[in-house]
Amino acid sequence: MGGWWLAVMAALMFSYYGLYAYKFGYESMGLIKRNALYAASLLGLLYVGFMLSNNMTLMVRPDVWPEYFSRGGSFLNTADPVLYPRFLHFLVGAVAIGGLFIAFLGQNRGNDGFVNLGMTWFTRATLVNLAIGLWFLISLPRGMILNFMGSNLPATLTLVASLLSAGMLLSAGFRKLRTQAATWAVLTVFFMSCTRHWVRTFYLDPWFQIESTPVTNQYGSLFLFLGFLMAGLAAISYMLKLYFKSREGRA
Amino acid sequence: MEYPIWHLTTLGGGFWIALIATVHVYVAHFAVGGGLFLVLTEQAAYRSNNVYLLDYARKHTKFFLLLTMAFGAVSGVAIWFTIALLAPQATITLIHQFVFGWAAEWVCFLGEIVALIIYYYTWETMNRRDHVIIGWLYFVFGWLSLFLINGIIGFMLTPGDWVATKNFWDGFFNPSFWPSLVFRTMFSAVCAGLFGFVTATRIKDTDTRMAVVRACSAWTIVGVLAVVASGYWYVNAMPPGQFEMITLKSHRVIGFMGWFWVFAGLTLLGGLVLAFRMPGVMSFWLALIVLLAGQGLFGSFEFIREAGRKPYLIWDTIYSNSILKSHVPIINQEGAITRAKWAPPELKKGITDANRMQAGEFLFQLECASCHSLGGPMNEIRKRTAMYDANGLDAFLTGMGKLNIYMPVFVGTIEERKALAVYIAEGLNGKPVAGSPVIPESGAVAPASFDPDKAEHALVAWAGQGMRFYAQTDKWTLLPPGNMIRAQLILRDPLPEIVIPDVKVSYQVDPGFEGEDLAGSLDLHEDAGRFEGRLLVRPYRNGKFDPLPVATLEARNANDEILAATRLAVPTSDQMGCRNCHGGDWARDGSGISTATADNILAVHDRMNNTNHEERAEKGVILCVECHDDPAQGAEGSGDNPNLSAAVHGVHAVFMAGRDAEDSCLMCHPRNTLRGRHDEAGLTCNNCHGMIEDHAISLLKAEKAKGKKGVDRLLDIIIPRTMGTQEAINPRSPWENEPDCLACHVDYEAPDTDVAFNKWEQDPEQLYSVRRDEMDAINCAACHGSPHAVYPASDRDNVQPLQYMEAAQSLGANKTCKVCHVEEMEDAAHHAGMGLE
Repeated sequence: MGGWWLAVMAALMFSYYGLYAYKFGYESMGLIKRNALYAASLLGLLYVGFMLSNNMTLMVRPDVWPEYFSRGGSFLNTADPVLYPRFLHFLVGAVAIGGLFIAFLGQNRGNDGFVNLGMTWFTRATLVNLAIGLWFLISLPRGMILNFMGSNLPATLTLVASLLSAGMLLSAGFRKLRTQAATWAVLTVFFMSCTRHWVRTFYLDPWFQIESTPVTNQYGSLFLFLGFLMAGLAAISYMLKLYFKSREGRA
Repeated sequence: MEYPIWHLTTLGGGFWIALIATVHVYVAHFAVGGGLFLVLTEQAAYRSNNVYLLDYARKHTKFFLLLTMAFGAVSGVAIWFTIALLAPQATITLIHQFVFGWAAEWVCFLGEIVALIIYYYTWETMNRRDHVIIGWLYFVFGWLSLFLINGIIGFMLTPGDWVATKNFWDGFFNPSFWPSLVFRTMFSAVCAGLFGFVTATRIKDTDTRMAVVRACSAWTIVGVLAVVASGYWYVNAMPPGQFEMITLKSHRVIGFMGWFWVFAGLTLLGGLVLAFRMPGVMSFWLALIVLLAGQGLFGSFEFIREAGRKPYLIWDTIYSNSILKSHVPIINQEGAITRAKWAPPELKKGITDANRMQAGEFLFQLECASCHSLGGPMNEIRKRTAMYDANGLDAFLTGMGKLNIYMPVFVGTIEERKALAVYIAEGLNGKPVAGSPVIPESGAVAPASFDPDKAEHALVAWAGQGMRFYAQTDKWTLLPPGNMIRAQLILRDPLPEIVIPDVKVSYQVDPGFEGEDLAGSLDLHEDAGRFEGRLLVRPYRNGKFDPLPVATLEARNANDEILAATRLAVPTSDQMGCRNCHGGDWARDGSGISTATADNILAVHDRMNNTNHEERAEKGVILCVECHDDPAQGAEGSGDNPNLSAAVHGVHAVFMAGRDAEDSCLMCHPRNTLRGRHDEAGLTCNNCHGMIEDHAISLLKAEKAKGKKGVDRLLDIIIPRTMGTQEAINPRSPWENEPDCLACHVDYEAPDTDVAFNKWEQDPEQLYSVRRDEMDAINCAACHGSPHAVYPASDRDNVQPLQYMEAAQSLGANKTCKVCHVEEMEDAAHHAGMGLE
């Protein structure tokens, strides 16, 4: 899928410039042109997401790779039943977070309509995502499902933590508690990332174990990063402070 | 080897990385220098209270944001995508080494994004002081990104001590870190000026426009000058290998370097011209042109940097085709297909006649496609290999990466190498294997008359070389034609004598042959008891190739009366197989070196040795011996170049390594060089001269002892075939130290061995073609025939034995002493044996 994958860049660039054009030309464009541009940009982003899901699912299936020799280099992982729920799971998750962002924007601007709309999208999308998540889970290979159903305790606990966190997220969402909802959303994404780590580990187990990677114990570069991270975050915080200062008294 | 390959054809050969990377780095450097330019412009606007300037800064920010944050950022990610697709092995190595370096860079990138978005959206709302702080923070983040990436990119070209220590800091602060950082920083300033022109030329207020355009000119001009100065430092900071690749070795780099100077000049000129007042529209279009020149400047620099790294992606660690250098020995042993984790399953079982082409195609993708496209714009493979048949290409692959170190060595088994050669030559280029050259049947010729009862004299003659090869083209001459003819006149008697006084030996080449002085007299060499002369005959009779011209010799007394006559073949051939690897066709009638072949040889010589022979040859024929000494031509050469034979055999041994005589020596030398008894006995060139590698080493060692240049470079890469070590091979001078016949024929006996190699005749006077018998009277070759054509040889070679004995055998063999002695003899006086015991 090399060609499909590299095309992600063109699609992303198209969508970026499409959305910039949408923003900067909002007033001057006709409705149809504007909506077409928006829809096209959105399609570009959907393409990016779909290819990312293809790549991620293909990445953990080295057994499928030799198809390259029989089917040619341009095949996608469309035969994999995991692909579709996975794509939708991330897509709908992104919609939920987008809703949360709208809610925060409403809060910032004192617009209750935005807040309600955003939280509605946030909660409904999350409910839908629970169903998609279940679909995702049952489309995994049987052994892996069992791992998440108790065979592998750490994996099962990770998934349970994710679900509990998602439950808290929904609870806060229905009550329109934006900060709480955001906190649970961050935690849910964290637990889900850990769950994703388990999925990848189980998939790759026949081919790769992380323990086999040589370790050199060089910490110098880690300290370099931590130094940059601390200084960078401090500078970013300072800049955000200046930004919010500049917006004081503005809606 | 560890990863699947991305099968590319037209757009292979690094097309994607070249396209994306060169454009990205241009914009990415603008993102650094342009940030500084922006905030300084803003401050200047505040200082001067110039609303037009402030308005420009605001508009330029939008341009900057749209270009660097969307295109710059996404194309940067595209580089990741591309290198991961094209060179996963190098990518994972970089990740393993520098993941936290990149993480730090991403922090900076995040800082850039936050700063730029705030900067752009708060022109109206933020107070001036804070806004300027944000602008400066953007630049600091941008420059720190450059600082971090510079360490990692420089690492690929000059990893320095990292190769041994694998230490992050050794790799990061590598030998080219600081010059590269200064170079790129200065280039960022150039970019700020160049991109600044684009928006500055559209400022409506004329005075402000001129002020900003001139500021951009200053950034551009000072920047380009600083780029050139720091570039000089950069190149000189290269370790020897990379320095050599950039400055001496690679014609490819020389090309890019040329473009670098052209674009540097154009950018400078553009910067200067734009500083003059001109209409806005005109300056805008000129600004775009200068912007393109800047892209050319940076593109050519990137190509030089990339080419200087050849044949590696990470110097001394990963080859351009993603093969780890440390894995080469094991891959050579086990095979590239076996070691490739993602190879077509059917190939894993082994290469067969049925799947050879498929194996070759896979190997092409595995080892070649990262640099060579099929029909595409980047390093198109067909064009570069069109001259080779599978055999020639196999030779090329054998030597690849050894002398021309721009390319990696071929990695894999011999069988795989041959499969790749077949795929490229036959699969891609449709070029069938060049058939063996056609050697015309040289039929018997009528001997001169000889009456054993009445003749008073016998004239015996031989050629100095059993096959005088020559290589003469309209571009260069390696060795001209001219076989040496030697003759002795014998007074027939129970005690025969060599007759010298008042004798003249004339020669006449058969009619129809080409050449100069085809009739004349041989010179007397009284001390040696013989007559000799060089016959400048060429092997074409009535336009048809005939490598065994015949000459008639007559010995006359002072009264011009014929004492004796004989005929002999004067073997001469220009059926040199240069075209097997250098392309071109035969020059005429299946022999000779064509102009196309000759041109290619000059081009290759130029490429390998940094000479300008192609250009020189336009002005007149180049003699190889102008530079390379050659005892065969009595030429002293010039400078400290190795002699002609050592140079030619040394270079070709690298490409012919591992082959036997049939596929090495006789790919170049005429295939009918060896005739006669030794040929009949199944001997080949190798028995006496050694395998091509050993042969080359013997020649090169003698030159090494004389301190000739370039010899070590060859000796370093030629591995001895039969002797274990180079030390075991005895040095020799070409044409002067040849294999000694007595090495096999100990005491003139039938041999116990068939290996004469490495036992060189030390005295040129003792070489077979001039050596005399134990009585120091008759020459060995007078009775046994020309070297390489010892009797019995071909029908035509046998003309002399047939004249004297009516049998194709050595003179005197089988008790034919009467040829000279008139009567039967009982003692073997000339040498032991002689069939008389």
